Amino acid sequence: MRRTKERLPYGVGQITPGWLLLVGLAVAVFVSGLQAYLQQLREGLVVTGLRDIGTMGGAPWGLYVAFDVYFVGVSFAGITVAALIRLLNLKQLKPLSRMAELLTIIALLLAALAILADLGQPLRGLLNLPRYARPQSPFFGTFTLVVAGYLFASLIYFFLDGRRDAAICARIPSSLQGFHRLWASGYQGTPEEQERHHRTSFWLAIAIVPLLVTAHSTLGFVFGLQVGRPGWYSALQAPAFVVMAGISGLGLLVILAAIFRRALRAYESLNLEIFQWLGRFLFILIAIYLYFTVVEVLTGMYTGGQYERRVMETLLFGDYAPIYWFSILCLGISFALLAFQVLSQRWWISLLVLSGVLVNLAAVGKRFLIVVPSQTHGMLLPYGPGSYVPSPVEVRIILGLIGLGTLLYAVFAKVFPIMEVEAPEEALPWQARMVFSMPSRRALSPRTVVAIAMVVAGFAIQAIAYFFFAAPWGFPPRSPVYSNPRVVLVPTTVVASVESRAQALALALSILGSPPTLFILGVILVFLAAVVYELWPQKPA
Amino acid sequence: MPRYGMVIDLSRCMGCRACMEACKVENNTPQAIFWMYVFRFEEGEFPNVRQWFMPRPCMHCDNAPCVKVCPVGARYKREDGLVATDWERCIGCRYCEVACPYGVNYFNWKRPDRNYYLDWGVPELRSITSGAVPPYRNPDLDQPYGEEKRRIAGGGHVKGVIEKCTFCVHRVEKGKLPACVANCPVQALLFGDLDDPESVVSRVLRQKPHFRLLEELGTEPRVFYVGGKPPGPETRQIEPVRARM
Repeated sequence: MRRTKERLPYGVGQITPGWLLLVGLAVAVFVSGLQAYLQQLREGLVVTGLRDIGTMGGAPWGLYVAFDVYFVGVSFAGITVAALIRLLNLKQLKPLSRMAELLTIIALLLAALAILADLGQPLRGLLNLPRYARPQSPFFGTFTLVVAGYLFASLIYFFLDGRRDAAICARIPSSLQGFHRLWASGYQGTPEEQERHHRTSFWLAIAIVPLLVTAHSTLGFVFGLQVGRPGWYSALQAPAFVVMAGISGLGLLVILAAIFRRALRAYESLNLEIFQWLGRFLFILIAIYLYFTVVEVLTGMYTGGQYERRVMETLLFGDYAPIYWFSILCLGISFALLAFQVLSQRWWISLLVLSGVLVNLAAVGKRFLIVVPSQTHGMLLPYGPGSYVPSPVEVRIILGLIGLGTLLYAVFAKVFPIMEVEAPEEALPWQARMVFSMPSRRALSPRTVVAIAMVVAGFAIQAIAYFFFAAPWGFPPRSPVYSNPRVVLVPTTVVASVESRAQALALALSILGSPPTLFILGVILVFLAAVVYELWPQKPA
Repeated sequence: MPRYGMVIDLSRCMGCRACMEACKVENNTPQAIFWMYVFRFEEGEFPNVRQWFMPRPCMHCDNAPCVKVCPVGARYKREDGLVATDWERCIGCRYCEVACPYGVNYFNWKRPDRNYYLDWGVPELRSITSGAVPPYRNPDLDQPYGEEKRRIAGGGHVKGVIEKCTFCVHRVEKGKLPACVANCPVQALLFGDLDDPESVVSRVLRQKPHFRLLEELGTEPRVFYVGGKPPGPETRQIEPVRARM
């Protein structure tokens, strides 16, 4: 690639035939998925292969939930890698960080859409979750922490981290200049600005890592806390979720890095060292997961009560055995491939990509096996075994989501550099010391005060909404109190009186006045502090 | 405030499934949906075979897993102990269904349009309903109930929401018995206030040994079984209802 002053870096703004083909394919798949979804909206979930547990002998959760779990899992690796690069100062991995962040954001978006596709009343879901969401439901974490907190935090991190490159791109005249200017939002590249960015991104990374473990664990708890479902009710559920999340996400990241290495001819920036690092990380995670698998099988088969063993037997020898052994085989092969490369100290990108593909197939298989068999074969009353086969509508919707993700990723790669632009003017190297040292000269500038106040206020709002306003924790939930918000900021009588005149206004009021909305606003406020801190207008010297 | 509960006498139940029929008629539930279900069980090897029957309504647990997991509080526990489903608030995530160990929840996979217990197409019915239905709405099932004034009776056969046995809240609030109890020909099903020592359920529970289904899970069901034993590993279901929507 001939790089001139006039051209945007990394093929931004340049449409190639290969790209067009990919986008065309993605659009086609997405449209097919959209059409399937409209059909599902019209006719109801009867068009899926899902059915009721019990006399109907089905599984009410199927492909949608399995892929929701998969997508959330994929999102794990992206932001983890980005945060690790920042926290451990892994300079050689820097080209990877934006790719990884984008993967997180898009995967989370797809996860939210997959759940929306699963809801019988999607519109009510959008309205009632902010109005009535209860902290006792394991869904609360998925909904507030994963979608609101995690997605928003990733977006903020992504935005702030991209400002420098946006500023560089904005200098080059192109049709995208306005967009780049908007993103740069006045970034000049002064030492103070760089210092501030180091500081915010460090604290964001610190905040994101625990958030991410919590968020992935809550998704594990959605299953792991169900006493009535053998195969789900296990303490291993949450940790296994986190590890599998890392495996699928890292696998996908390897594939993406290899694609961009080839497409952008970025052999120097995306060098073998990066792939080695990813490979080693993946190797360790697969080892942990295989260990978990052995423990799980042993617990189910050796000690297991009849119900636990029945679920385990359908996995190992019964209806689900093909999927189970296929997943294990995929994991085993990629483990062997990686072990060989780790031990021989020789690395092949093609083998790494192969492992990436294999672990993602395994991840989809394992997610399916976590969700479904406990429903069809985990009955505690003698109903008889059920069955679940995904219908074409479900498959089309899921493919459509994957198409949408591909489309977003491909389009983004053409409007913004997917890797950090190398620039000689990067003057201020990152130092951990700087984060903890007081801001230069003035001890507390208004920008610091406002940012800290926002963080404190955000956490306070979260705490108030969670502990005092939302439905109280209670065991057992003996009274209707445990299912309704305790405090509603806009009284229901007011909402009711408004409703007769303006229904939309009443709806907005009831949403704004409810504790879950307040909690989410608190989460958002905390992370917005980083933006305020960086974008606070510089006082002219 | 009463504390409602049900007692099921397994030694009386003869598996006629009249309660299932009564439930379907009363609540007008769509095809393939059985809020009340009667298991027909078989145990042992020929010639030592025993057959027995076990009705399965919603257990209306005191520590209900479905109430705990509902993300929006559509499934909730009333003061009088009924586990209710607000079908106006339900978002259709089916979490209650996967959380319930008893398999009593039924999702409305589609808008119920046909195969109701009455054929709405016949001319005699048309003259009564003036062609307005289906889905037919019993005005009693549509009303809000309880202090919370929420729509929890079985009127919400709306596409995409969960429903289950309501203990016939629309009848109970008027002082009547649930439809299944009222229609049992051998009085195998009893219903009443567990806090009232003179109620029929309290008297039976005082006199007879009883058990609750899957008691070991700690769900604290409000449905008590007397005159039998819980199904075990050797229990096989025979003649199951194989209705799939």
